[in-house]
Amino acid sequence: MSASQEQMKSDKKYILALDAGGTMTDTILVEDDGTFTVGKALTNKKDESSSYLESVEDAALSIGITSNDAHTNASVSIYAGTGMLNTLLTGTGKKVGLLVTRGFEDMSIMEGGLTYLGQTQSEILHNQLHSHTRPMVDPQNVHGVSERISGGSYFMDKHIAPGKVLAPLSERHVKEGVKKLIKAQVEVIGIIFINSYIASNHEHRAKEIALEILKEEGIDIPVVCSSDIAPVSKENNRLKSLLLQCFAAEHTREVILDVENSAIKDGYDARLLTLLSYGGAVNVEYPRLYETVISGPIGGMMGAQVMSQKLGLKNVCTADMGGTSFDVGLIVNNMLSIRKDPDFAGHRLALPMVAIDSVGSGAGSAVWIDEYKRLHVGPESAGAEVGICYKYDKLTVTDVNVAMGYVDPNYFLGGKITLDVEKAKKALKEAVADPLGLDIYQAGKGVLEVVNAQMREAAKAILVSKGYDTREFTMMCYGGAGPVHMWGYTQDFDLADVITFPYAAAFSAFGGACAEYLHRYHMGVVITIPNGLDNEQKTNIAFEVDAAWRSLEDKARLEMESEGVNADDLEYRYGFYGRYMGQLESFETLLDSGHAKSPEDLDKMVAAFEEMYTNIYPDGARFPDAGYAVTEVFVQAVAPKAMPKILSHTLQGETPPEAAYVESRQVSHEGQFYDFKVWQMSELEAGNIVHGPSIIRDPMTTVIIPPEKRIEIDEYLVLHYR
Amino acid sequence: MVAVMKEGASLPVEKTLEYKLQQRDELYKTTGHYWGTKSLTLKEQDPIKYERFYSRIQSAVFAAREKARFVAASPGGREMGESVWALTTAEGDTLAMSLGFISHCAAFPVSIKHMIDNQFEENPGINDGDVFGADDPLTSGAPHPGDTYTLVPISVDGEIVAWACSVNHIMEAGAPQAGSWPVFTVDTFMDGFVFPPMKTGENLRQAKWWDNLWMRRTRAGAMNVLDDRMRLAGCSMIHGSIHEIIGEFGVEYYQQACKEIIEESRRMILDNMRSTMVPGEYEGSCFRISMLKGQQQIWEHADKNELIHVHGVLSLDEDSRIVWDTEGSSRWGYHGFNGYPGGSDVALYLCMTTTFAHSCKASAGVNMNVESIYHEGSIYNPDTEFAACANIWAQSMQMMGVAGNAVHRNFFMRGYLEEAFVVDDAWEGVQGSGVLEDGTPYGFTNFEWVGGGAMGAYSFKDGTPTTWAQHTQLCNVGNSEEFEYLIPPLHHLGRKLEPGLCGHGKYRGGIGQSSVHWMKETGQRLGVTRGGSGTALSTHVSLGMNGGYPAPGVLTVTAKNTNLDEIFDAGGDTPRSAGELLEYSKNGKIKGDVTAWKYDPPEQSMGDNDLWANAAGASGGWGDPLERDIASVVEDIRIGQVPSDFAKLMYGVVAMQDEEGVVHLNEDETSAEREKMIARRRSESIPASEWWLKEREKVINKAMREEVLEMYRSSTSFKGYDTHFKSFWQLDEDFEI
Amino acid sequence: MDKVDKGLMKKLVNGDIADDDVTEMRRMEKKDHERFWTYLGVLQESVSWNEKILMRLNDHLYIVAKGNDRIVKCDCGHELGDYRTNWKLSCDLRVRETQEQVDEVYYPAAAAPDAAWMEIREYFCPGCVAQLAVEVVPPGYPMIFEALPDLDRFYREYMNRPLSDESPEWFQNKTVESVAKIK
Repeated sequence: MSASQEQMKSDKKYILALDAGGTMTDTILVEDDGTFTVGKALTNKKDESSSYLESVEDAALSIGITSNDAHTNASVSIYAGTGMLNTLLTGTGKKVGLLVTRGFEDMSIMEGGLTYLGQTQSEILHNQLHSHTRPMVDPQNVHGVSERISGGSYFMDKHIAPGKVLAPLSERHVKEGVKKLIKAQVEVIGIIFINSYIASNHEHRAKEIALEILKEEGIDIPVVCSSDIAPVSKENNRLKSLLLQCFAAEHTREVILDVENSAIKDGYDARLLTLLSYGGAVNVEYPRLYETVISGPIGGMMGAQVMSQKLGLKNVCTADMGGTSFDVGLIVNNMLSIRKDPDFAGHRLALPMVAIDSVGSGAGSAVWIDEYKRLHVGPESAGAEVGICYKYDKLTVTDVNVAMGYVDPNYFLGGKITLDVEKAKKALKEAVADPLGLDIYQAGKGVLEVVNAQMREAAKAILVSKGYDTREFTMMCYGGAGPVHMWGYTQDFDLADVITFPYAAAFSAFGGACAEYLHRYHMGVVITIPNGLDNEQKTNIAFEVDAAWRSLEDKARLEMESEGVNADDLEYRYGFYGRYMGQLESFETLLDSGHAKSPEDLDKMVAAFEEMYTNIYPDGARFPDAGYAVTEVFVQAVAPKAMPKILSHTLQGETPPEAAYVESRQVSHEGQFYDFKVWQMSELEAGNIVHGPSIIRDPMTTVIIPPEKRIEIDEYLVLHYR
Repeated sequence: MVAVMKEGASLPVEKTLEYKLQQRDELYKTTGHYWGTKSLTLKEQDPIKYERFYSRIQSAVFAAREKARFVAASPGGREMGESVWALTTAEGDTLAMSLGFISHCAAFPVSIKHMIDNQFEENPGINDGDVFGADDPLTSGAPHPGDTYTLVPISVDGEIVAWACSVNHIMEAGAPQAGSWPVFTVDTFMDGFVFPPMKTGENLRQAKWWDNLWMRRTRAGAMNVLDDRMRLAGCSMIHGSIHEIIGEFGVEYYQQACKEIIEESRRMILDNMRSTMVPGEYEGSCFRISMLKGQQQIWEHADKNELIHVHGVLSLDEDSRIVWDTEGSSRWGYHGFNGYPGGSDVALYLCMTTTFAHSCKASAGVNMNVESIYHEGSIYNPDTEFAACANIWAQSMQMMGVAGNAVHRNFFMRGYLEEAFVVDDAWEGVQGSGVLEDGTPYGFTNFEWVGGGAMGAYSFKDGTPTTWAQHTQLCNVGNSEEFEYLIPPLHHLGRKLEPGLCGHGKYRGGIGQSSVHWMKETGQRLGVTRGGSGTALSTHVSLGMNGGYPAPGVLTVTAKNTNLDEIFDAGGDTPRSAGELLEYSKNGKIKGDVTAWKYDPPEQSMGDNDLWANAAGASGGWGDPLERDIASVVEDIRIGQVPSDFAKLMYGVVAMQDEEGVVHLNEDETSAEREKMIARRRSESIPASEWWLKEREKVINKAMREEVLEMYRSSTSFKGYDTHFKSFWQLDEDFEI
Repeated sequence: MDKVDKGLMKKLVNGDIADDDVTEMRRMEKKDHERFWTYLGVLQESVSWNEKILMRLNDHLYIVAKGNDRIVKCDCGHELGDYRTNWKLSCDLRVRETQEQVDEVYYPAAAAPDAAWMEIREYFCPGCVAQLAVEVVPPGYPMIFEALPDLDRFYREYMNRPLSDESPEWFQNKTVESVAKIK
C-alpha cells in the first residue's frame, strides 16, 4: 500500500464513496482527519445521477457544507452502482449479434444446461422449477463461422499442440455473417471461437474483417472478441462474459458517465471510479466494464481488507447483515478469496469475482411456520418496509428484535421512524408463539436462534468447506443489522476475535473509498510439470511462465496508461492456477515473486501449490505421483489512489464517559429479562470497555452486548466483542 | 447372537450392526414406523434444537461436496452432477444428501447389508475411519460398475453410528469394451473392474495396492484414482463434522434424532403422494432393442438380437404408498442391459425423489414409500449371480420414464398441470479407447449428453432444450473445450440442437441435441462405440402423452473417408449435426461412407477426418399436433428449430423462410392443408374393433418377426402377464406364442 | 401463493398463463387441496354438455356420470363407453406400418422408429377425430390401458366427498369383457 500512502499528500481533503443498493444509496464522506460522515438517499434506478447528488448532499449537510464544497474538495469519488443487474433483469440491453465457431450456433439457448443457478436445494430438487434465463441475443442473430484451433490435451506434447490451426478461418462465413447482422441492425457484434483463450488469431482476424465491412457500410458499432474479454477455458462461461459485455456493459458505461458528468458539474474535477467484481477500482475508460457487474457488496470486502491490514489480521471472515441477505466473504493471508466462474442472475460467468456467499436471511426477512410446525425465516423480505412494526404485513426478524427489546422503537434511524412494539408483539404471538405453544419470549428466542443459526452455519460452511480452521479467523461484522445479531451468529463459534465498527451500517460505502486502483490480467497456458524433469527442462518451463508474466505486465502498462495512470507507479502481484495432472479444476496459487528463471524457481511454484492444496484438502486427497499442470498465469497491477486514513486515537480509561450513558432498558434475552444499559456510540472513546448487559445505540444501528460479554474499543475506534 | 470382539473389549450385542439391522426391519414391519418411531419426541420437545441439529448435518454433507468435487478428474464428478455425498445411519439409511445423483441413496443400504450379512464386523472389522469401496451390482446395489462407491464408517466407542458415503460415475470401467457402459458384454466377467464391498483403506487413507488396481485394471487409471480421492476427501470431511456434532449433541440425541428425521420425511413424502395422486392402475411400457446378432460370434449363446420389453403398472396401496410392478418385463439375457434390484431402484427412485421429496428433508423416507416389484428371473432381478449389468441405464432410464409419466398423468387428473410434463430423456455417451502415435494407450468416455437433455411438453407449454437430467438435478452438459482436452482425437465440428428432433404435439417436446465429433491425429489406433439409452429403432417410451408423440430414441451417424479437407478449402460448409450430416451426404455436400445407425454400432475404427455424430436428448410432445397454434409453428421455423417442410407434414402449416430469415405464412394453404389432414384421418383410420380382429389374426398366425415373438415368449413366461396378454387377445390357455 | 383461483386455473387449462404465475404455483409450500374442485368447475363450464364430470382423463376425455353409468365422454360430445373398459377400444385407429408412414411423424427421418420392429398407432375420437393417443409398439402388443382410477376411493378417502353410487364394482377392469364381445 506504499503507493497509496504517498497519495495521502493530495491537497484535496475529502474522499467520497457511494454504494447504490437496491433501495438506498449510501455515501461515506471521509475528511482529511479520517473521520467519516454517512449520507443516505433513496436509489433512483431511472436517474442514478440524481440519487447520487442527493446522497452526497445529505452527507455534506451533516458536516455543514454543500455538496459543491464536497465535490470541489474531493480527491476522488467512487460509485458502486446497480445498473448492470437492472439491465439484465429488465432485458433492456443492446441488440447483440454473434459470430461463433460453426456448429456452436445454439450455445446461447442451451446455456450448457445450467437451468438451476441461484436456486435453493429444494428448488434444485424440484425439476419443474428448472428454466433457462432470458437470452441476451436473438437466436436468429447468431451465425456460424467455420474454423477450429486446437486447445491442446491432457496428453500434452504427445498429441496436437495447443494453438495449432485444425481448420482455417472461413472468411466467407465471416463476411456473410456480418452482412446479415448489419441487415438485422444489431448494435454490437460479439465473436467467440472455440479455444480462442489459447490462440486468439482467428477471433482477431474475424474482427478485422468485420470492422472493414462496417467501415465500408459506414456503420460505427463495437466488435468484441471473447479472447479480449475473458481469455480462459470453458466456452459456455466465456460466452456469458462476452454477452454481458456486449449486452449490458455499454449501457452501464453511459450511466456512470452520466453520474460522472453531474459530479463534475457540481465541482468535481477528477475521474469517477467504480468497483470491479474482483476488487479494485477503475474509471469508466476500462475496456471490460462487465467486470463491474457486482460492485456494492465488493465494497465491504475492500474495506475489510484495509481494516485487516491496519489491524494486522491475516485471516478474516466478513459478515454483512443487511435487510434482505447475509453475505459472507473471506480474506486469507490478507488476500480476498476469488471465485473463477461465479453465478450471477442465472448466468455462469468467466470472471474472477470476490467470493461472497449469501443466505436469504436479513433483518427484513419474513418469519413463518409451516403446517409441519417448522419455523422458516425468509427468503421473502420486507425491504424498506421494515416489518409489521412499520409498514410490512408479515412478521420479520426486526419485529422480533423490537418485541424482545433489543431494538429501541423510538430510535430507529435516530428516531426518524417510530416503530409499533405492540403490533410486533401481537404478530410474534399469533405467527409463532401460539402455533408452537410457547409464550412470546420463548418464541422470539426460538426465532432468533434459527436466524442466528442459519447465518452461523453459512459462515462456518464457507470456512469449513475450504478446509480452514475457524480459530484462525477474525469475524468482521457490519451491515445495518450486523451489530444487532453479532452476539447471536458468533455464539458457540470458535473464532480468533469478533469486531465491528461505529460506521458498520455504511461499511460497504466506506470500503469503496478504500478500494485500490487495481486490474487483474489472466492468460490461459498449457504447461505440464511431470515428475522427474531434469534441470534444463525445468528451466525452460520456468522461462515460459516468466514470459507470460512479462507479457501480462506489458498489457497492464498499456491499458492503464490509456486510463491515465503513470506506468512507473504500478505495483505488480503474481500467481498461477495449478492442478495435479488429470484434475479438471485449477487452484489459485499466489507467489511472492514474479520471476521464474531457474529450476529452483519452478520447484518453489510446485511447493507453493502443494502448500495451498494441503491447506484445503486432507492428506488423503493428494496425488503428487500424477505430476502437475499449470493452466493459467495472472498478474495484478495496482496504481496509486487516494485512501482514507484510519485514525489512531490516544486510549482513554476503561470506564466510558458519563455523557455516553443514555438510559437503561428491559430486554428479554435468552429466555430471561435483563436490565440493559444503553450507551451513545458517538460519545464513547478509544480505550473504553462497555460491559454487558448493554446496548450501544447509533442512528444507523444498534450493538447488542449480552450479560458476561463486553465491547472493548481500540485506538482505531474498532469495537472488539469479547 | 455372539458379541463382536473388538480391540479385546466386547461390544454389547445391541450395539452391533447385525442387531441394528434386524431391529430396524422388525420394528418397521410390526409398527409401520421407521424403527418403530411412533412419535417424534425430540422434535416435539424442542423443535428448534431439532431443526438446528438437522441443519448441522445437512450443511456438513453439502460442504463436503462443494469442497471435494474439485479434486475430480471427470467433469461428471466435478460439476455435471454425476456424484453425490451422503450421511447414513448405521444400517445405511440416508439422513442427508448433497446435490448430485441423489437416488443412489438406494444403493448404500445394499452395500452395508452385504457387509453385515457377511460378518465384516468380525473380519476384516469395521472401524472408525476405515475406507470401503464397491461397484458390484449384485452385492453393492450399484447400477453398473461405472458407478463407484466409497463408504467410511463413523463409530463412537466401537459402536458404528453412521456412514459417510459417496459415489461418482467414473470415465472408464475396465471392461473388454472400453468406456463407461459396455454394450457388448455377456456376463459380469465382461462388465469390467467389478468388486463387491471391500476394505480398501484405513484412517481415511487408501492403501497403495488400491491405487495400483485402478492403474492396472482400467484404461484411465490416473483419472479414476483422482475420482477415488475426490470421494474419500468428501467422506473424510463428513466423518470429521459428524464426530464434532455428536460431541456437541451427545450420541443418544444423535441416534434418536436420526430415527425421527427419517420417520418425519417418510410421513411427509407419503402425505405428498396422497395429496397429488389418484388411486388406481396406470399402465405403461417401453422397448430397448439389443442388436448383437453376428457381433458376439465368439460367445455363441450371446450372439442374438433381443427386443427387451419393459412393462410396468403403477398403483397405490391401502396406505397410498406407490407400488411399481414390473411384471411382464423381459427375462434377463446375455447382454449388458440387465440390472439387480438395488440398481433398478436407483433408477426408479430418481423420479420419486425429485417428485415427492423436494419439499422435505431429502432422506431415506422415499425408500419406505415406494415398493418396487421385480419378478425373479426378470431383467431387474436375474435368477443368476453372473448377469451383466454394464449398461442397465440404457433401459432403466426408460423404465423410470414410464413410471414418471404415470405419476405426471395423476397430477394432470387432479389439476396440478404446472407439475405434469412428459418424462423422457434419451441420453447418450461416446466411449472408446486408443493408442497415440508414441504408443500411449488411453480410454475415454464423453458423457456430455448424459449431463442434460430436453424437458418434455406440459399440457399448456412446449418443452425446452437442455433443461434437466433425469439422474441428477444438476443439469450440465459441460464444455467442449474440456472434453477435447480429455479426449485428444475428438474435436467438435458441431455441438448444438438437432432441428425437429422431439416428440411433436399440440405442445412439442424440447428439441434434442447433436454432436459431430471430428477425428484428428488418431495415432496408432482409435476405436469408438456408444454407451447410451434406447436407440432410434424404437422411441424412448412407447406411450405418447394425450395424443402427442413420444420422443425419438438416439441416432448415431458415422462418416469415413470424407472429403472434409476439400470442404474446408471451399469455405467450410461442414455438417453441424447428425441430421445435417445425412442431408449433406444425400445432396453431395459431403463425400465419404456415411452410415446411419439406428442400433448400437460395433466398435468403429476411426481415422483422420472421420466423423462420429449423434442426436439425443429429445423429449416428448403433449396433445394433438393439429391443435398446435400456428404462430408457435411459425416461430419454430424462424429460429430454425423446426424445418418448414416438416412443419407442413406434421402441423399442416404452410410457411416459407426467406433469405433474411423472415417467415411468410400462407394462411389459406394452411387451413386447406389442415382440413386435408383431418380428412386423411377419417379415411385412413378404422374402428378399433376391426383393428382388434385383424391384429388378433397376426398374433394367432405369429405373423411378426422372430425377435418380437421371442419377446412375447419371454414376457408371457411370467404368469400375470401371460394372463394379461392371452385375455386381451382372447387366446386359449394353451396357446403358445 | 397458497391457492389457485378459478381465473388462474382457466388460464392454466387454456395455456395462456404467464410463466411467473406457473412458477408461483410450483413454489407453493403445499399443493392446494381444493384445486381438484376448481379444476372440475372450469372444465365443466368449458364443455357443451351437462353430464357431471367426475375425472379428467385426457386433453379431450372425461369420466362423467350419466344416469347410473360412469362413461368416458369427449368434449365434442362423443361417448366412448364405460370407463372400466380401455376407451381406446371405442376409437378409430390409424396404424403407421411402413417406414414411409412412420417417417412422416419424426424428424430427421433417420431418427424415426424402425417399421420392421415397431408400428405407430394413432387413436382418434370417432366424433371430432382429435388425436387422443399415440402408441409406438411392436405388432401384436395389447392396447395400453393408460388409467383406471379408483373413483370411489379417491372421492371418499382423498377428497372426503363420497360419491352417491359407491360400489366395489366400479374399480374393475372390464376391457376383457369388451374384447370378448368383439370376438
